[in-house]
Amino acid sequence: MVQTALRFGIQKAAGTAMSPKELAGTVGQHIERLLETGGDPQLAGQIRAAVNDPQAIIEIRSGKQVQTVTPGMPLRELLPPKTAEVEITVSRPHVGG
Amino acid sequence: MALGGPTVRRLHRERQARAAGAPGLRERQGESASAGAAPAPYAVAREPSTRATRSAGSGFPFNVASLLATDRFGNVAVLDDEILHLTWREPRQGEDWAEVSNQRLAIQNGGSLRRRLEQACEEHGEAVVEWVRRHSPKSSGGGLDAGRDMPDTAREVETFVLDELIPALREAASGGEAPPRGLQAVDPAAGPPTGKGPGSRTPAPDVELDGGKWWAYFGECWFQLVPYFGRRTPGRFRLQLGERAYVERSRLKRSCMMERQERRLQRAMVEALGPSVDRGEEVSRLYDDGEHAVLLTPQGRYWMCRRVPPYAVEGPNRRIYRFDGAEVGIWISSVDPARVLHEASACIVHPYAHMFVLGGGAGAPICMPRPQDYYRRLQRLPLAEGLRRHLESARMTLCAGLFHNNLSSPYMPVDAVARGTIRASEARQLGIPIYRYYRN
Repeated sequence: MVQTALRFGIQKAAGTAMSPKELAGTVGQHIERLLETGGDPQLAGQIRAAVNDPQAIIEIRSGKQVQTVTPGMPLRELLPPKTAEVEITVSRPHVGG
Repeated sequence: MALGGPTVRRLHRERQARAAGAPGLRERQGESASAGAAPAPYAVAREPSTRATRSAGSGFPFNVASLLATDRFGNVAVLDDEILHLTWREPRQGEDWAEVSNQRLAIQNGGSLRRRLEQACEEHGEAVVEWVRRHSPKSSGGGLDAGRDMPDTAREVETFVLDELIPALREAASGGEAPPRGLQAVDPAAGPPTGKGPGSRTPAPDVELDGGKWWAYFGECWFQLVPYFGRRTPGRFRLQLGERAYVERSRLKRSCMMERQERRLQRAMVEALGPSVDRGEEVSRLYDDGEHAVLLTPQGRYWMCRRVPPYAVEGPNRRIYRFDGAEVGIWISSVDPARVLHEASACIVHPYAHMFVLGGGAGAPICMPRPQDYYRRLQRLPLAEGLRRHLESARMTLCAGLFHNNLSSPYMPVDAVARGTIRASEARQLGIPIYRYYRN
């Protein structure tokens, strides 16, 4: 089983254990799957809005590896083999300067 | 109730003493923060000691040559962090060997380079900290104490930090937030990582010596290697190890490369330890879980900090620029969120060049344009929560604040402040996230 978690910034939005088969599909589909497991509806709305914003940032952490991804990327191909945990962090655009 | 390391417990004793009418430690004259703590004995090295020649000229306590034991073995290959000593003799039966340019050489396994570095940091911890203290660059924008009046509510701030903030951070950390890659979480019970006090240790930086994953020192040269199984090419250095074969990709003079790797190692130590050791002033780390930290400056100011692991930023020219890790912080000047969380509150805690940090000195604010509604909402939160959220925003600003359609202008162009460029494939191999400029 793979422990999966979803955050919006520092706020935990969802988390559940999934079998490797359930990690099929895109990053966006996986986020939607996690949101459907329950949680704060307001936070879910913010996450969905951010996922649809191309300027937003989605980070995936698996073990020691962190990478930025887009909703359309296939999730399983992004993860190292035999991964035990996956944490997805969605962030609004953060302007600098 | 003991909340953390020796410094935290001392602060609790002071508070209790004040409550009982006795003067606190800070109010007594001529007493250092670490009074009474004897230097800890260091772990005995389980491999040949790294007490080899100090880096010539710089006085750094150990050097790349000692990590690789080239003073003993001369020729060495490093393949995927594994050190292999290439001797000059024929291999005996049953002994591991490598073929180097048509010659069979017995090899000795030297262990993990990363592990050697960790052992060197354990063995030379105090000397390394002292060296970093002397060699940390001067801050140009004011340190963590400079230019900041002590608040009237200093005691309320202290109570907030010890009784609310640190427990909240500890709870959040135990909820499964893993430390960022490459940073060793300091055990809060072990005290600040200054090399003093029992149980403390100097963390080894996450440094990749110049040259990539496969390279070798052989004879007068250094060779960058690449896995290769094709025909032998005359004149090119080749290393065959069982079924693995590597061929020369580029070469440099041994002494030149050794010097580059020394500089890389020393720079990594300064960047890893700089935040806690700043030009002789000792900043205490009251709490550090590898992601968040709480600092106490020599003049009694509390800073909450967030580590930013190494990252890469795509520039407008589509090149990918590499940035070292950083630490961002907010001075807890009050228990009133409105006074703590504002436009100029998130700062870089140590000298750090970045396109959104003016001046780049310790304590320089990060430019983070936000609508006023952002700060109103932040200030309505409990202060501990507001601090965490704003520091996360600061982290994302450093990493991902440069993008197409961002109407703000950076202080400096990205190529003027980055640590060089990196290929996307290399960044992925190193686990360094790339924050894209073009996102549509």
